[in-house]
Amino acid sequence: MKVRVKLLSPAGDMPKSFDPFGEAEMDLAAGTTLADIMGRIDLPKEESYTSLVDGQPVVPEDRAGHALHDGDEITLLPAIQGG
Amino acid sequence: MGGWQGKILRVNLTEGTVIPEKLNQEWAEQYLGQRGLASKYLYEEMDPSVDPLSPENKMIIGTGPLTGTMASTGGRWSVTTKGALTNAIASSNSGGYFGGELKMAGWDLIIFEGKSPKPVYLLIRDDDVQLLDAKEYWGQTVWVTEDAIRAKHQDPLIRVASIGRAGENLIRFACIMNDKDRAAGRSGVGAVMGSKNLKAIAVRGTAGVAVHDPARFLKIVQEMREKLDTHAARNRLARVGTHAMMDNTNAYGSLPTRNSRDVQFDGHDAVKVKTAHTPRRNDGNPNLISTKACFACSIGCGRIAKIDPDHYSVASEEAKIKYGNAIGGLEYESIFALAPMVGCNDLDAATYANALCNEDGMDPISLGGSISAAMELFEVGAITTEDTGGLELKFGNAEAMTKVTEMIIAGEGIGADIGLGAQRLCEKYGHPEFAIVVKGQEIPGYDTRAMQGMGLAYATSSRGACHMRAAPFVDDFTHVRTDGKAEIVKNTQDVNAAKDNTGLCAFSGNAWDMNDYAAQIDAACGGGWDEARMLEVGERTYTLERQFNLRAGLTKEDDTLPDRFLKEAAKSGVAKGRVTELDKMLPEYYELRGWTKDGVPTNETLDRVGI
Repeated sequence: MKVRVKLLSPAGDMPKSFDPFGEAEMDLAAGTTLADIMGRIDLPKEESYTSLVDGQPVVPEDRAGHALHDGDEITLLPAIQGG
Repeated sequence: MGGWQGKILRVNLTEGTVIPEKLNQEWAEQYLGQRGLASKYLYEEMDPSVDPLSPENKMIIGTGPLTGTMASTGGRWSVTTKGALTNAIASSNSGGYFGGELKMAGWDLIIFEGKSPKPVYLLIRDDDVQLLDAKEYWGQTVWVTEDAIRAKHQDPLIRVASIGRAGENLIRFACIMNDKDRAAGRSGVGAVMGSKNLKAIAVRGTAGVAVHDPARFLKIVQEMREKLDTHAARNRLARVGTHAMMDNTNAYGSLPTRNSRDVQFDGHDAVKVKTAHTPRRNDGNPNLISTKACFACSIGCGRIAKIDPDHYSVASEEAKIKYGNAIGGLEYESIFALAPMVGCNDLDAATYANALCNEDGMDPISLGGSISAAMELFEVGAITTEDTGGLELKFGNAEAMTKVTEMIIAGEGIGADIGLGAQRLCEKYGHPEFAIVVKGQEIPGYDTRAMQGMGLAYATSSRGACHMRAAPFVDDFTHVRTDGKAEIVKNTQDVNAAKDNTGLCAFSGNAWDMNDYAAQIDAACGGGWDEARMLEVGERTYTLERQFNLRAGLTKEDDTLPDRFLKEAAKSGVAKGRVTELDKMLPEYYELRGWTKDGVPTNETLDRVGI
């Protein structure tokens, strides 16, 4: 199955497999969870990330049980402060 | 003693006197500096019920113990007074170079009292302090005033904090500007300065700032800088600035749009951070052409922009010269307020309106929130083209947005009414429900239906709706819930108050915890500072601000949110169908603070925090 991942406001260099605009298409095995995907992306460890699947939030404690489906759009955004 | 200079200036504008005084060291050790220490002086010296635009209101310029030192981000200074917009305590914090210069001139605070019979400015050259005639600068912009004062005194290193025409005209959301595009922005502190006939404060400092233990201070400052400079958030702030936040709030559904009728903006692509970084076809430049840093800062989040040379705002030769070159660029708060909030998808129009704010000293958050309220009034027919002089003041009309900004500064036509701020404007035109304000202050760029903790933070902020008084961002961006928010808001309000009092920038808090601040304060000031003592200072500050507001006449009824957030469900985003459930959070918050159910600190609480 294929999913699309959008990484908003990344810090530092874009993680591998993402285009310069923070988007990547990933081919996944059936049963892959949101936690699996987030574990594969090299995100800064000192920041928390919010995850949306098709625009709906998946809280951190539910990521391991959230199986992805073909065509899902995952948005990851760091919980940054404004100013 | 180090960190503090041990001296304050008392300027009586009515009498024309300038008197140096010894700093109240006991208060300094209770409140550290800046926001907290100035609030203590204000609370002890002034009746909080005074009219903010009367001579009885005092205005205190504050530095912190780390302002003017080499601690990273140690350039902050603040203005504490009773806010012209809010009738609550105001403490507006700015960066740039003015604060460091004032501290290096040898002063911890300046207390302005009374009202000058004619326009004046204060010139400080270390211990040499004079009140001088400002007749030639009155009516001039901030940009002209800064350059003219430096030229007059033949010293390019003089730093100036001043008001533009907005402050002179008592626009309720006027700022005090320094270094041309840095602002003590919120709550109308510029109107207070204007009401005193005080045009500018010009300062040149050569005295330096001593610290308690120089070797330890140097070591800890270097360690802290390493920790800050390698942090992911610092990288992001330097590279894309705070503008990057808009991608988040738009995706999440917490981007205030069209006077908060919507929570996501269909024109986001045209005004997002990537667009600001993308070179244009006509001149090969992007909107964002460079960055800059404030005094001692190793983050460098400041933006420098260039308006598209073909944009209508720089069509005239005069406008090309003033606004068509490198100018202060957009932060998240200014782009949210001057684009989604007013429904405009024109990056250059927002950049131009923001430049007008810098040039004449206005808060772009309140400007956007007041114009968006006017637009909603226009759309329901409460304001007509007869009122606007023919202007179609509709959401999305960028030319109308920038034109009305010019009218606000000049106090012309409908501009004079919009310059009252959203609350007074909407009351005047019969629709108070269109004012998206808390304690009279327009909201910053976070819709509270998706970010429930921010809703509680707005409602309980001592200076009205504010995104800098508390930091519920991490939990708000992961959980749309009310559980646990009261504790997060209370604790981060105390943390942020302690940080503000140090003289360091809030953005250092992305990398540093309270132990890191305490270590720098202890090396600079001596006296045994640790995390617990810093947090005591923070809680004491927040409680004192509460006491000020209660004495000013504010009550629990003021700890609320616009009906739009409490009664109208979000139309989209993660909180689709939800309202802000303030009633589920506020009682717990009062209890955690040790306040009664009516929001009044108990005697036990006052004793505990040392008030």
